[in-house]
Amino acid sequence: MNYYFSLIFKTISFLLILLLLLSVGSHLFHPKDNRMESGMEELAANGILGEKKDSIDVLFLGDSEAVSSISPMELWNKYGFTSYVCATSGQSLYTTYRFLVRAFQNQSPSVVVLETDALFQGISFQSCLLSEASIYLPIFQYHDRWKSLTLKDFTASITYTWTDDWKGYNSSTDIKAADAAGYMIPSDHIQEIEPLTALYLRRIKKFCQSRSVSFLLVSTPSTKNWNYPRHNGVVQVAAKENLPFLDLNLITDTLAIDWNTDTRDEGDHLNNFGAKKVSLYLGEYLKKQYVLEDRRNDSAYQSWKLAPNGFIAGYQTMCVLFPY
Amino acid sequence: MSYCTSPYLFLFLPAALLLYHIAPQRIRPILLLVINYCFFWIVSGSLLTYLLFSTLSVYGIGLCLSSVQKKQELILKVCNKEEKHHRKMIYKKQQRMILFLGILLHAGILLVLKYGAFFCFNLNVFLNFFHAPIDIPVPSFLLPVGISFYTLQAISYLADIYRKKISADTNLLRFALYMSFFPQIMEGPICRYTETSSQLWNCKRITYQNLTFGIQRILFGMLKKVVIADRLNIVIKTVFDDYSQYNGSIIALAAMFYTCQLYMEFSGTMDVVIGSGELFGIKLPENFRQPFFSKSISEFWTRWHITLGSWFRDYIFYPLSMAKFMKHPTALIRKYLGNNYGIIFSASIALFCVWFCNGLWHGAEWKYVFFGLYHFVLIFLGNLIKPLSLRITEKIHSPLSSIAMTIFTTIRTTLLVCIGELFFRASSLTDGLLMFKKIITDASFSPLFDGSLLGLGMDRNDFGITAISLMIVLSVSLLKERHLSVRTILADQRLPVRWAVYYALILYIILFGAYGDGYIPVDPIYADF
Repeated sequence: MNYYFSLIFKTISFLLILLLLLSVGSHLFHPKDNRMESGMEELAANGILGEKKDSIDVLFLGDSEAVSSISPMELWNKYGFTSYVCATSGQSLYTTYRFLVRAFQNQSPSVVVLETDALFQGISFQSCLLSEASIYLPIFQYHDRWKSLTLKDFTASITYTWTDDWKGYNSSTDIKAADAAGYMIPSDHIQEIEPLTALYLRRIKKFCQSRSVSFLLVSTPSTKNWNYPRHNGVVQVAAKENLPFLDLNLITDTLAIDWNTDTRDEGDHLNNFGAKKVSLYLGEYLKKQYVLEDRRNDSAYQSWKLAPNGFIAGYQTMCVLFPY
Repeated sequence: MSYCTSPYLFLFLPAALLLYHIAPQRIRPILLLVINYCFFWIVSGSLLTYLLFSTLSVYGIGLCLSSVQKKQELILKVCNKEEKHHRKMIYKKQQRMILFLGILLHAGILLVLKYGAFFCFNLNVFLNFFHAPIDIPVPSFLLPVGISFYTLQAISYLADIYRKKISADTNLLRFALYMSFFPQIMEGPICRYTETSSQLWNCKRITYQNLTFGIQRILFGMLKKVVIADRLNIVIKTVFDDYSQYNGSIIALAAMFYTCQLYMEFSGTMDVVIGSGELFGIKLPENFRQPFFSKSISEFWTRWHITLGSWFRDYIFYPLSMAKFMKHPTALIRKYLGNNYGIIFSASIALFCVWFCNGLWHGAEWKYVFFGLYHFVLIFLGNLIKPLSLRITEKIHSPLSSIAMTIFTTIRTTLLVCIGELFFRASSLTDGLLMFKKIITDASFSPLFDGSLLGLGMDRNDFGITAISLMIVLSVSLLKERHLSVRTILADQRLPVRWAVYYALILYIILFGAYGDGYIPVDPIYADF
């Protein structure tokens, strides 16, 4: 009995000390600011960390489709609610979940929108475990920072100071026409969503439910990444989880998407012109479906009125070229 | 789920250990078998049926062989002298036939699943060359993970019964445990029946020493795999995927890096495998014994993938070199060229077969066949000049020259191994040859020093940490070579010292491991074989 007691005591002590070391290491290796020079990764998406507390109304999640199709500044200009695209290229749903948790540490949006291309990104159990561990012990995510540690990392506390002028959106005026010949041909075939992805979708849903936040699935137009089997797959999972799903790929005519001018890379992603059309439609939809305040006259949102120079220039160019 | 991944190390293995520990002794073998099959099912899904079929059929064939042997013993006891020889021949023939059918069945499954497509593809190429109007469809099969390993275990079991080294197991559960032990089913080591079956059946209880030794071994394996092998993969992938862009010296360096990666990856995984076995109190055979201290290619292969080498030695080399049909030509060569050449002749024929099979065992591609035959040529030449080199060594014998000779032969062997591994890693034999040609014809050392190295995906810090990690592995290897066990030395230390070492090792792996964002996950290399 003594042998087992001693063994259990030793094991617990060993693990507790290890946990302590990892916690200390996590603080040490965690970037002290959300800037590149501080070692922060995925800058645009992590720009949300520098936003004023509880200042974001709508949080967009997803992969590069979200980054290139939804322009928060466009939504602000037209509808007056604040939003942020917390998305990264090739993002799997476990990373989406990590971003969601992190975003809610400082924000309390009333709507969370997931761009559904992320539901079809590859996912592995190994990566999920690592991602889960990173939520509690960031050393697993930032371990590579041993290459750039400075004295400041040992002494400073974590303060996020940087915000992205584009609010997570990736601006591009490049035009590379798409061949939309085989795009969205109706089919009964269903592309199933992987069980692990479905599990994370449920977690995101529960996370939103627990905070009384509306959760919406949206698919933005892409000839390369979207098709009917995928649409059917999301319809199936949305019905099962009782989630609203808006597939903009089905209404590209209503959106007036022109595949000759509105894509930056042959239909893979939209450019500013396509993003404007999608954002305006989506803004209208969100405004109708959810209670989103117009904050354009609110002095607390002064910083949002100072739109990025690039945005103004791009916006003006767009208005001249495509005065929709 | 490979062995060096978090699902295995943090979920499957602890769960298996816990279940094993809390289960009563009498049901542990059944539980272990269930765990083994669960693991195989997670990795290979419904292909588990192949393993079940192999287990049942080998078990049955083993019993058949054994019953013939028993019958033979009984009959021979009551036979007179004249009849004895005749009966012996009959039973021998029966046993040989059963063994042949058993090997044919299991090697046949392996051949069809693993080499069917390769054979049909090359047959089509051959037929096309002669403008034959036939196009054989190339089959495509799903390959159960570890089939190359457990098939060799099955064959060794049958051959050992035939040779009366062991008796057939009458206990199906014990035999199934031998065939399916989860830590070694994917990448070996290739165990003999006598090495693991009784250990697996006895199902010892988990002890503190087993736990600590097992965890130490696993941690050391993870250091090799995650810190060194996976980090080197960045440069290797960059160069091998687009070798035409690089100078010969960079390609040569990438080949050396690959040799290092392969060793760190495979031996690291073996550490995890053997460590996992140790947790359960099962001692698995070693697969590596400091191979880069070898002074010849022959010696290298007695230190690298030891269980595969010894399998080929026992079940291909010896039977072939001692076969009846070899005796006559060997005797003739002995008579005309001398004793030495007679031995070399018979050994070389068997060696050729061993290395042809060894190459092919690694994969159904010509580059692997070339890899095998490359080593055959090196060993054959080594055997030919052995008398001469021995004479030279004796003549220049002095302590200093002996050290110089050791250093020279060790470096030479390592370089020869690196050349072989270049072909092993190349996308195809043609690419391997082109890369080797570049090393010969386009070798300039300037890219190694002008900063080009830093453009291959690894920065100065990466090179630094790889070098430090290699020094750690080298230090442990040097101690092992001198028969000093680091683990025993560590076990003799006080608890704070031991724990400090463990924490240092764990944090070292977590901090300097090449995993997570920015790194491409590296699949286990040997699981594909």
